[in-house]
Amino acid sequence: MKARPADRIETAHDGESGLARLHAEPADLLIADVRMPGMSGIDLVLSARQLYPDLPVIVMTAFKSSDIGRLENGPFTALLEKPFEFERLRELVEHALAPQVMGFSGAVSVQTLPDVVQLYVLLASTGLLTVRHHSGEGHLYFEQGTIAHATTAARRGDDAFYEIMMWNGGQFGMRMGISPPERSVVSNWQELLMESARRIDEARRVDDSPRASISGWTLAPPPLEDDALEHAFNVFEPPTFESDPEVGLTETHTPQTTETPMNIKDSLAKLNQIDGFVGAALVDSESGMLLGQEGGGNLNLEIAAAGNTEVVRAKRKTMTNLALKDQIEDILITLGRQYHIIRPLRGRQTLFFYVALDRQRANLAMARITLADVEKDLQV
Amino acid sequence: MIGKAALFALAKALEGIPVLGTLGGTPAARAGIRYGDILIEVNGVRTRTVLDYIEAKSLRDDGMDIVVFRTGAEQRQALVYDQPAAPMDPAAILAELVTLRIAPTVFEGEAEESQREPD
Repeated sequence: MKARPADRIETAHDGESGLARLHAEPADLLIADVRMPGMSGIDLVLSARQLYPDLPVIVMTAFKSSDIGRLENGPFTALLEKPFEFERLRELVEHALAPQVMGFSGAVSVQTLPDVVQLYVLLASTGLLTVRHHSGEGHLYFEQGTIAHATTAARRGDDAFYEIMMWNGGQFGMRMGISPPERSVVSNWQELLMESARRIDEARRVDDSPRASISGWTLAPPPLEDDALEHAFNVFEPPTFESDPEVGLTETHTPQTTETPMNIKDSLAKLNQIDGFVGAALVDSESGMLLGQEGGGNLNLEIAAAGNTEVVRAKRKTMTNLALKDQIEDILITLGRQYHIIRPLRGRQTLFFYVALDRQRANLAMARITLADVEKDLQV
Repeated sequence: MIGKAALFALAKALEGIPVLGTLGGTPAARAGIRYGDILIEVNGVRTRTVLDYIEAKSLRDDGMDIVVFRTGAEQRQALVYDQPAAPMDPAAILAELVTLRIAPTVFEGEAEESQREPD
């Protein structure tokens, strides 16, 4: 095998001599066959563990025997079934020798994938998020919190990212520490999430079919071949969200919503329910008034310094220079501690909603969806 | 200078909409509408929520007659929209918003100045 310069590989012809070598000198990793002359690979591993309880082990075998079960409690035990690709062995070795990632793993369920993406972005993660959907599998690579690379069966880059975000349910699993093989994603994560939210939102408007029972995401075990790498995940059935119409992708499809139009006051009150809500205002550019939104009593937009004004003025200048004529759906301003979202009311382009959110608590994608909902309710 | 919490409380008591500020160079700014005013009526319609405002505003295209509550009294103002209407420039609005919201001191300064002026 192609060894890294620092690697030293010791070989032994049977279990006993292998054990003797381990006695003489500790190792970083033990690779053993199951069937060997004399001492079996299983016994070798068990004996080696007596010496070094944390020794990672890769066991090669042509067929799984029940004996393998005796190895289950090891720190890192990978089973390599013969015949195997050499690349596979290299992966296992690299994984075994990689610095152990500390952390928790477990099972979670979320409503939309952007939540998951946001989590890994905010954690500045590097790794591969595998997403399984009935239409296929998608891969999202994170590199230190940026979304670096995305692929699906048919697409790559930003388009692949959006395709994955539009999937309405399935399973996902994250493998930390995997670097992207290439960079195909151009937009930054906020643009990606905002655009995803917009597309999800539009899909909701178009699609009236009640599919609440299949929306939602569960953390899944990684692909089968990776069982040995990721042994800590649990599988569980995707939950249904029909009982909870407050949140989720499909809330507006519930029959009640169409029979009983939402009270406008309730609709505006929804703004207060946005996670991290700081304040909201209605802006009328025609009359020039900036009006407080009911429930916005704690409106305290923290804008640290005049520097921000300069930033905004620069943005304005840029937009003028670009002669931007397209309709603006919304504008996001990211400050140190807050997000500010500005959304023109459709059909009344001189009126804007202006919402400030606490970055630490806000879920940008969901906030944006809620704001779009409120705006829609105001189209009376 | 009324604090924001007090302004919202007062607006609620009066069943009006608190004015948080005006955009520079707009009809409202020229009419002297400012932070702390409470919008009571637009085009003859009571405005209790921003939705009332949106509906009342749509009654006319050329401007709006408003009633605001300020320092204990109602004031009437006729706003005439600029013709042709200024093109939509959200970034400009944003710039003004940010300027307006930068610090309460901006409002406080304005309020102090305007209080020295005879109303």
